[in-house]
Amino acid sequence: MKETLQIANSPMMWILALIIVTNVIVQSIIFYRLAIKHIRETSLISSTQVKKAFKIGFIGTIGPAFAVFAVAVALIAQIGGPLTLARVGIIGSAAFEMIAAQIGSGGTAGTPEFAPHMLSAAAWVMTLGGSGWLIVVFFATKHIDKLQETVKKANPLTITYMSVFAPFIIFFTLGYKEVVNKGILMEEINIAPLAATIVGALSVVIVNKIVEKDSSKKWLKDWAMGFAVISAMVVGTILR
Amino acid sequence: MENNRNQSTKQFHKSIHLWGRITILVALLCTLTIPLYLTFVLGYLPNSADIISGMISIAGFVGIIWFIEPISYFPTLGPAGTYMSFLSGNIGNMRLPVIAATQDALELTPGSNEAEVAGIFALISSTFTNLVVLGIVLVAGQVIITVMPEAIISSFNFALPGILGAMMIMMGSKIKVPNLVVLVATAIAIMIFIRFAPNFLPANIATPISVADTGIVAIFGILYSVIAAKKNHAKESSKEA
Repeated sequence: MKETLQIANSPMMWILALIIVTNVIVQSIIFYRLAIKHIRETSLISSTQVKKAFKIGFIGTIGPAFAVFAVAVALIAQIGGPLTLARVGIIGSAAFEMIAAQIGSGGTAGTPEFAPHMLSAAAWVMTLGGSGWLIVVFFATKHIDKLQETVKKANPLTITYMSVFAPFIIFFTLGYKEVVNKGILMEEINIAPLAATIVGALSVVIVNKIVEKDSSKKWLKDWAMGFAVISAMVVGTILR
Repeated sequence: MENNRNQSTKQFHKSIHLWGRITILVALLCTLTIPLYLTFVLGYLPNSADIISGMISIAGFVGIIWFIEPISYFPTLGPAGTYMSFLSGNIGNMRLPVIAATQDALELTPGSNEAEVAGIFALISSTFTNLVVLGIVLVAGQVIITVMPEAIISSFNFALPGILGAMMIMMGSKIKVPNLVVLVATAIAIMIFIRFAPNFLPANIATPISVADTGIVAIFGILYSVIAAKKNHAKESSKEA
């Protein structure tokens, strides 16, 4: 176990992990430049809107990012920092990688029986397990895009509906899982997730009402997700 | 001018697919370096039976999501968003909400060109925020867990339900009530079906569908969009006729 973690945290592992994370950063830079060039040519959106988009990306991510804190710390203790960085920093999520590490190591990760060759097996399963998404995205995205263009031409309404119905039903289902599966159906009924969801919803309703009355307060909309997260955290913790 | 714009849009989409695919492929190859290094440089040859049985478990566990997620998230993420989100991960809890909130705050039509471009900036900042937090966890995670009161650490568990509540309103307010009712009823019906599936389906079918639940529901949402659009399209043209 000790030897295994020494290998898992060795300098070479850190170097490889950093190379992997660099991919995300490089992709961001490439897409940033493509988007900026496109905006310069078409003035599709204003620079204020660009700034707002950056702000919303930050506000919307900070809460959920800290939510994986505990799982990430547990994962670091089991498989070391570099693999955690390489897997959770890109492609996966902490929860998936935790399961993949357990399956790959035959359930030995975090136990004294976690031998170096089990670390190697866990790394294979985590990597190949995550590569499924990348392979499908690599091959299919272009075709899905073409298909959507064809559908758009045949009946533009379909795309109008799809781009609202699909995210709504996804958010509803994710919310259902938080509220029902992780709350109401627990052995000890827990209404805190339900309350957190309702408060989150209410904060958007309130922001919308304020903006409706006074359109000079539109900037509140940029912060809607921040209000939702903070109020949900407070109410959820009180009712816990 | 309009012509230039179309030209630029076409070029933009071409570049997105080209660079999206290149970056995904390079990243895929890079991720292989860790297991390759452990196995062939350090010589910790894992039991191939361990890997095969592990892969079978993983494929049974997430295999269906590999296909369902890229399709069902596409209407929201768009091409650029798909390449970025699947590379950076954490889609349901970070990337999708950020995209939806950006469209809402900037009043951009979901699925439009504007929404896609704005989404790129939102996703860049979302990805970097996540990496910075992960960096904090790597450097000081253990210390923070011991020093911070447990209540504060666990309060972050309510961040996601809060965001999802917010998203239901942001997206739901753009949908007419009858459609809203159908969507909610569909989602609940499928979730209940999946919950009881182990009672009447063999485990090797019930487990993968229960893991892919969100994606499966989303596919039904997409199908309903097609049906509803067809119905209204027919109505509109019959009105004209």
